[in-house]
Amino acid sequence: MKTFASKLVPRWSIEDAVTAAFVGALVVMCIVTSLAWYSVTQFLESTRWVDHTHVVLATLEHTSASSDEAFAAAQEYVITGDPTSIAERDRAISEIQSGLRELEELTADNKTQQERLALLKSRVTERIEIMNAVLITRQTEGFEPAQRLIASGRPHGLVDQFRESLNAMGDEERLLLRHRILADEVSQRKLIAACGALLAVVILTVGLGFLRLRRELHLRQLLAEELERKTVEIQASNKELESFSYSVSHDLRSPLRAIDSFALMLEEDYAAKLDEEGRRYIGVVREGAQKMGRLIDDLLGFSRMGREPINAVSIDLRLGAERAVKEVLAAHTGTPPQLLVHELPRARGDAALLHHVWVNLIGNAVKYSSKIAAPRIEIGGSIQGSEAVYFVKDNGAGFDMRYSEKLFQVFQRLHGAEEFPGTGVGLAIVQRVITRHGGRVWGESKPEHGAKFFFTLPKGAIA
Amino acid sequence: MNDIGEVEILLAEDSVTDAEVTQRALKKANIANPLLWVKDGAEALDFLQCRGRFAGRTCARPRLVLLDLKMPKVDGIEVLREIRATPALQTLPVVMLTSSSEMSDVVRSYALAVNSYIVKPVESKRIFEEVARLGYYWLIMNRPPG
Repeated sequence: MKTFASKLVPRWSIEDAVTAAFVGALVVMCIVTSLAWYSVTQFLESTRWVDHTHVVLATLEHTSASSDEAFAAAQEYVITGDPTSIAERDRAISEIQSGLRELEELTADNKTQQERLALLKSRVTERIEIMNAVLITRQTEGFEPAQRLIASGRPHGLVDQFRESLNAMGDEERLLLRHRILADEVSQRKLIAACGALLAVVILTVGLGFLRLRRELHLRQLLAEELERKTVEIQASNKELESFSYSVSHDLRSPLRAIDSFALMLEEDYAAKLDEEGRRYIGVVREGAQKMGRLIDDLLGFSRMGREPINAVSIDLRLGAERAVKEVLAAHTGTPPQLLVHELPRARGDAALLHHVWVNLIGNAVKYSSKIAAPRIEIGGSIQGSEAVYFVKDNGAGFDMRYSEKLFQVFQRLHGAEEFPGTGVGLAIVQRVITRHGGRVWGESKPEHGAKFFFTLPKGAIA
Repeated sequence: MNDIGEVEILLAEDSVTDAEVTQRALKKANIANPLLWVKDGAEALDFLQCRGRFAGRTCARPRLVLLDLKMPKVDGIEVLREIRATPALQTLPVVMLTSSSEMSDVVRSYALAVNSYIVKPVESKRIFEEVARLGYYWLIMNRPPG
């Protein structure tokens, strides 16, 4: 039973463990979500960069094509002298210029590209100037000199330089893109690794939490089954006890009644035929029967105290004590004691069951102080922590503390029945009722110096 | 054993000594109404329903039935239940005279409309007093129906 109980009290309560697991999982999920969000933003950014690079490359391509067109148009004009070729060339030049402007904007953030662009621009200008010179030569000096100028190779060299510049810019852009994509890939891979690790942590935490929970549920199920089994056992033994006390009350009392009644009838009808000793014997028989009757009644009462269900509510203990005082004094013969009932704190309890506690404790106080000159009984109580503590104090015979353990056992008495009558069940009833309320009961005394009995109850509501 | 004469008190009690004590107590209290003592619930019902060994008796209701709870064959509760289930006996005064102070017995008896529930004390003087009072109340003071 001990190992079973210790299994049920883990270092961490199941609520703590489950809360920790789920809070941990939630935190990790949040982190993973933020990282994923960050990764997506990064991806979008890099997509933008790819687009940007493509735009730059396309613009470079377009500018390059326009430049070729301009060159071709100029050559055509040199050969044909057709003025439409001039117009064609001018259009190509304006496209080249708009392309260059675009490139300037697109590479505004890149110093190397800006430098390359400046070179490109100067080459374009140079090229346009050469072409202009060729065209003017054609117009003024005719085909041959112009053709010679072209054949000199200078315009072709310029074209090559221009293309070289364009290609260099394109290469730079491509290189940049590759670097960016590479950097992105690295950070993406790191992110995926981090997310993976965190998800693994989540899965582990949730998994462990789940296992723990399942174990706990299994244990609880075991406990519930155990409880169920014990409840059935207890119900069975309670039922047995009930039928036992029923037969005790009926079957034992009936012959006792016969003994006492027939002894009385013998006394009534045949007293004259008996001598003094004979009549004394009848008295002893009747007294014995009656005493056994009281023992049975008290034992039944004791057994009932263990079976009655407890209906615990906030109750006024002082009302209960005063009611018990009245009941005890009504049955008391001889000088009434001086009785002092102080204010008593409220407590949680069953008033009907606690009535037996008061009657027995006050009854004992009255009984054991009945032989002294000025009997005095005091009833009081106070709140101590979460408990209400009550006492009944008398100045009577008291008892020897060495036997205080025995006081609360059934049929245990510290005084002879001739000295103080009683069956020895009263304090056992008191203990049973108080224990069932979750309280404690104890006694303090010194022989011939009175006794003080204490009991505790769970503190009651203020109202 | 067909004519047993007029019966005013039916006493159902399995204990010979208890029955004798009850009868003596009634006699001492000068309650001389004719009494029939039966030893179990089956006999009590036979008498009340005028059947079995009581078939053919002048079938008049007694003025009072004193029932013990725990009896062989048919117990007091079952006798009471059958009495209340029989239209001719529904208003018959029935008093439980028993050793049982169990609340469940008291409640069950009242649920079946018992007229009184008396717990027999152990002490003889008190038995004599209480039976005398009971007889006086139900046979002299009380006005029965019919």
